[in-house]
Amino acid sequence: MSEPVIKIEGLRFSYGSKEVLRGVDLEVPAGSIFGFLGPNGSGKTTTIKVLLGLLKAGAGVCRIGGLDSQKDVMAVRRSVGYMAEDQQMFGWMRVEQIVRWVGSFYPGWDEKFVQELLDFLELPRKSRVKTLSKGQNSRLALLLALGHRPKVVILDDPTLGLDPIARKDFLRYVIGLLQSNQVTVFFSSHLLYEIEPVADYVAILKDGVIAKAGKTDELRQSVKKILLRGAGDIELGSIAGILDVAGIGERIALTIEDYSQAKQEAIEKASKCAIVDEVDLNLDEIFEAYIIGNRGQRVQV
Amino acid sequence: MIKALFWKEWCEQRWKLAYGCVLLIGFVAVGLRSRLVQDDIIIIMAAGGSSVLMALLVGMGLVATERGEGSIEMLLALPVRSWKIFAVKMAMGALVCALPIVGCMVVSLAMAGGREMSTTRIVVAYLGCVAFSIVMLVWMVAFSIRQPSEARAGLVGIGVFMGWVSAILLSMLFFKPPNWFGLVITPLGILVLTFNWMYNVLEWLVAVQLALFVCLLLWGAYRFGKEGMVKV
Repeated sequence: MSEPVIKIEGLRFSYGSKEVLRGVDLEVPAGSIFGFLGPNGSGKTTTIKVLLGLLKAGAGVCRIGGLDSQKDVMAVRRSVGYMAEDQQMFGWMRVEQIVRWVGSFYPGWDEKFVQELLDFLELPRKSRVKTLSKGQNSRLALLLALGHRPKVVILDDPTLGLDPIARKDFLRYVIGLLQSNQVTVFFSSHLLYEIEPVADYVAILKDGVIAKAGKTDELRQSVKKILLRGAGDIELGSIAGILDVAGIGERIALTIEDYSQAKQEAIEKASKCAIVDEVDLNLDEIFEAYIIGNRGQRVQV
Repeated sequence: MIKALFWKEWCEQRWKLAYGCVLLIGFVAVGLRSRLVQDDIIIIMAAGGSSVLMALLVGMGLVATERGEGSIEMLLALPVRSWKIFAVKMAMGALVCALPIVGCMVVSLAMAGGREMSTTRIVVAYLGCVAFSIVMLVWMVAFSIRQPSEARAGLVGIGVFMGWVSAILLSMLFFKPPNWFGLVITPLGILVLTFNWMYNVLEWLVAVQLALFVCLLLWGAYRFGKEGMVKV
């Protein structure tokens, strides 16, 4: 893993008596597209807002490009491009006005690049923001996040509320714009199929802690679904890394992380069943196993 | 950066300014021209009414509209200190409160200066109302800064005003004139002091009012930058 451009250590945040983040640790390598996954309410947006200094951390350290995001707030915001979840902008402004207005806050605003982006993203310069479609609104928010050519872009559920076509369009623009420029993209979403084709790394946030983080390919290789054929009461409690167990007819489907030859033997020994198949999982299924998996309770077949 | 913030606030508030100017200056002009009632009644109605009206109108939209529409998060995520955003909002709000009242003053002086009221009395009455309007704006924004809609911010503003009036009336039951409590505890004291400044200038009361004003302004700025402004 190359040098992390975003580093979060022991991040905690409480809202009133509710603990939203309970010790988040995360490293985002420079130049990567990092998928930050989690169900609604898991703390993704809160993590991002703490990263940008919009919320004050209860404990822990967040660094972006070496800057402490709780202490060097203005420097962090100047160096990062941020697109909020369902970003609301000033509806009365025209597209060209809001672009100029936001640009006045960033010393490194690249007007030539922004004009190119306006054409590339097919945004109508003279239209008022309130008249834009949801897709255009998202593309405008993306443009505003990129106009100062940041090295780190944080996109918080950027396709929320978009229809499938607009979502695909948006992702096409994001990839087209960012992948070739060595920009680090921190992309939060709960739509796995949208993250899977683009993310180099993913982290799964569950109940305010990171349940799993790593390279997308490695995660896909390490988490498997094992089909066992057997009968009777099966005890799997001694096997580490079981994410989910489900009975399917006379078979047992076992989702397990860090799958290896040793684990295969341990499973066969513990369950006294033969493994009949190993199935590769997509990110959606892996995510589901981490989030709602039953963690290997006793199974009766 | 500050210029950009002023431009945005100007664009958002200018319609209220235009509305206030047309409505209030029109009322003063018609009232003074018709001469159906005495000039001082028209001037007190215009100055007093406009100070409350403009403070409510401006205070409702300054922060609560942005919270209601959700654009406050975009504003707070910009690389600019939140207190600067708040200061610009308050400065523009004060300007929009003051200009229609000053406009009324100019029209009153032009049409009725020295006719029934001396020009000094007219100027003092209007400037007192400008001060009152700005004080009411600060109170209203400081207390309504977390309100998620214009309507709720408006309710807070009306509550603040009615609270002052009630406090004055209650205090009159317990204190004989001059009612120091009433003068100190509510910004209505500013009005009372202004209208009576020629008879009884009480610098320490003005100092107390100013201190209260500054504290509320700082409290508003503090709350504006706090995390309660951002959805978790």
